[in-house]
Amino acid sequence: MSRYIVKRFIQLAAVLFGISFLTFLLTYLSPGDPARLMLMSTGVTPSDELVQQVRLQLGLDQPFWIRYGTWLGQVLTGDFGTSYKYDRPVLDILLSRLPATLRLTGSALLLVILIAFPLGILSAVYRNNVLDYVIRLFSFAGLSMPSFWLGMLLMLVFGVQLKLLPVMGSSGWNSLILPACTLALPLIAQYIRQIRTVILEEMSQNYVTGARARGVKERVIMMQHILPNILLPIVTLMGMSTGALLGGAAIVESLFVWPGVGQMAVDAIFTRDYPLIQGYVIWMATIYVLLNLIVDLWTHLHDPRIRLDVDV
Amino acid sequence: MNSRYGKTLTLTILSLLILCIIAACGQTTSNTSTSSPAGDRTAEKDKDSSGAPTHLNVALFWLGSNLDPAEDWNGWTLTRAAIGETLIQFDENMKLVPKIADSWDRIDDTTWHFHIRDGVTFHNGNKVTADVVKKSIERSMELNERGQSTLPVASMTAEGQDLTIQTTEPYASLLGNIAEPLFVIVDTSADTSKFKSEPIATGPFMVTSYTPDQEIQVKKYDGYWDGAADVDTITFKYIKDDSTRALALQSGEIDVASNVGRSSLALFQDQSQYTIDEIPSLRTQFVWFNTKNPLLNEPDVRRAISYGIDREMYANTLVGGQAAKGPFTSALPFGYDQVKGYNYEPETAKKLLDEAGYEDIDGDGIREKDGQKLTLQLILNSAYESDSIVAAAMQSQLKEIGVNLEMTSYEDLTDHQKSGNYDLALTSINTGITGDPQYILDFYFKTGAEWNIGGYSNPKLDAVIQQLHSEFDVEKRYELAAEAQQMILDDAAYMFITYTPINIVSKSSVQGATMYPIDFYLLDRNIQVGQ
Repeated sequence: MSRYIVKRFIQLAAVLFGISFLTFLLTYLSPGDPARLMLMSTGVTPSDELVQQVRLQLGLDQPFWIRYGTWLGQVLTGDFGTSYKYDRPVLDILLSRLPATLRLTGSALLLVILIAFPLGILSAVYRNNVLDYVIRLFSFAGLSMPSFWLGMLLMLVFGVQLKLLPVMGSSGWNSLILPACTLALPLIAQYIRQIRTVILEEMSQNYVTGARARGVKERVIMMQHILPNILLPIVTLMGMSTGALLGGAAIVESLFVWPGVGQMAVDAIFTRDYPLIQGYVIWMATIYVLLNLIVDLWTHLHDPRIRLDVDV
Repeated sequence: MNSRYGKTLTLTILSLLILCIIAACGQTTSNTSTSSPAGDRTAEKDKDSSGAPTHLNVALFWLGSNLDPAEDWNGWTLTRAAIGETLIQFDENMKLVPKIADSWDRIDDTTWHFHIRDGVTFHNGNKVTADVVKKSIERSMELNERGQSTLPVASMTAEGQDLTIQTTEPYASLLGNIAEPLFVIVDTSADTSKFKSEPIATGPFMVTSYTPDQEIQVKKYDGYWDGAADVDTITFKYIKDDSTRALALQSGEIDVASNVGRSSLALFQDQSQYTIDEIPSLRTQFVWFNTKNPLLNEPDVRRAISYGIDREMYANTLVGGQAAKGPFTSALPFGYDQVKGYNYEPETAKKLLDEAGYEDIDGDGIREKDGQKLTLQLILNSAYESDSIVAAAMQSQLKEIGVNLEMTSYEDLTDHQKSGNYDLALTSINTGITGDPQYILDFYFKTGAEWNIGGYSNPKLDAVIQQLHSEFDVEKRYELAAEAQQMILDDAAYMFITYTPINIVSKSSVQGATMYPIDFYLLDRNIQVGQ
């Protein structure tokens, strides 16, 4: 197993290298000059001379390979560069933004677990019953709503009309509710469907029929046999969604003025803050790969039939 | 089976624990960085009763990287938030009025004298003298390239409350430039390394806490030279998204917001609840003609296009603001009243095109001459909603006079403009940033100027602009500016469309929130919350 982990870490390095190169290339090729955008951020048209000065200052006059090489060299020593906009180390900015995103992500995941599991199970147990239809309708609606629209709707209802919750900011625990719900609802909808499907699949297995024939109670079958078995696919799915959430759910964070990494990434893209974009991408990629690793290890522990070293 | 469960259980508990720790870390870290009180809204309700401290929540649509006025454009935030002040500033009519300097005069072509008002103190209680002002201006020039390019200072001398500035050349726009918030006066004897989060300036409000990219908290400065403000504390929240800003205003989380989106403005028409102050800004929406295109080299074709669009309708029903005549809005005293622009006269437009030899021979509605169709490429910036709306309206109106407009929008027009890869380029420009016409005339309209990308040239216009450089009499400057604008219009070298509106929306309980044409300013000591 330790050999496997070492192998995975080597893979991780290769993946990160590839991703960093690709993003560096893409940002390099994208239109818009960061120096000019920096100067134009307030609506003034800067002179060519001024733009040139800023370009020199930022090292933008260097050819692609030199810029990439310099950057990569620094990253390997733990220096992710300095943000153009904030003039602060990228790593500092990322770390200062992470807690907010973690808080939001944690709350959203908690909501998903607390709501999606019971509803998914109920929906499967009472298949084709009224309850099942109601739950499926809810999940269908949740899947169809784009998050920015859902967010605005929640803001309008709970912030403007009912004046129960703040529509923006991150002060106080109650400002967490609306963005967390906005993030969680589509996920809940998705999980309900997944959970329902896998439970139904499991229920049609022979061992369940056998257990029923032996007179084992339905509740016991569900708790002791079906649920442990469905955890496997659901955990894999959760690994992926956690990655996406930790990436910062940019739209939701921007909408609710939530000071996480997602909002930061959107800002960085608008201002062509290359070092910050690069740092963010590396963070995202690392999270995805690490989460995958954790899920794989978890799966192995849970079901040793899935042998790790075979599929390396 | 048991061991499998054991492992699963351990792993699950471990994961949950990690999640809790992470969440807990998040909570504490964020609590230290955000010092905003949890229940702003309830706090605000309490204050109305009587005697309790008054608090305002204000939305900022832009917040720079930190609060040091000498860096980037951060000074703008300081003047908007009434934290910092310049020597002189612009009023609602774009006239210069005294602030830290109570009088000034020009001694000769290159020498200016400012008298620093007695009794002005910094937020730390230190007195503002000419010497301190000198050091503050020097600091801005040293730290910001914009400082050197907008203030060509040869030397500065300070004596008591008298500051004398020698420029390297006759420089008529010095006054307007020194009013730019880059030159917010700060106490350089304080620890300037802290200015990024706590600048020591002279405004009616002083910073108590600053969270980068999120908010600034200020309290009133009791020693303010013009008398302490009525409002005790203000929280400035950075809300970039237009819809969120409007929703936060509706939900009552903020009391004052500027730049509320045009589509949201209708929500605040109820005067018993909100006050809207909307005026034309210094921003002009305008079009470059690429005169290197043979079709547009003919002034009559350009004139026809200028007559072919209905600016009044765009301003009144489509995007708001005011129909434009020349480059400078009516908010600027640069001769707007003396200039004659283009009205919507489709018949005149058709006549001009007929005379220029353009006729629709094949009956497809588009005119042609020598087999070449009058089809033009319009480029615009995808980020500005009002530009897209106007471009679409122009396209359909120009079709009526037989001109075909093809539109392409880009995130950044610069490369296409500079490479000449366009026929018409639509964008919005702030034309009054220095409070003087020279900068824009020099930059956009002179032959070979850096942003004269359409290749327009008129030697007579160049001569008038050159005259501006050495004309110090303000009224004469404005006359020259009017003359220059009329020449540009007569040549139809550019097409000016609308003057973009700006607004400030406040709850009706708030008094004294006025919109200035130049958006350096937002609040001042007169802001009040009604009982």
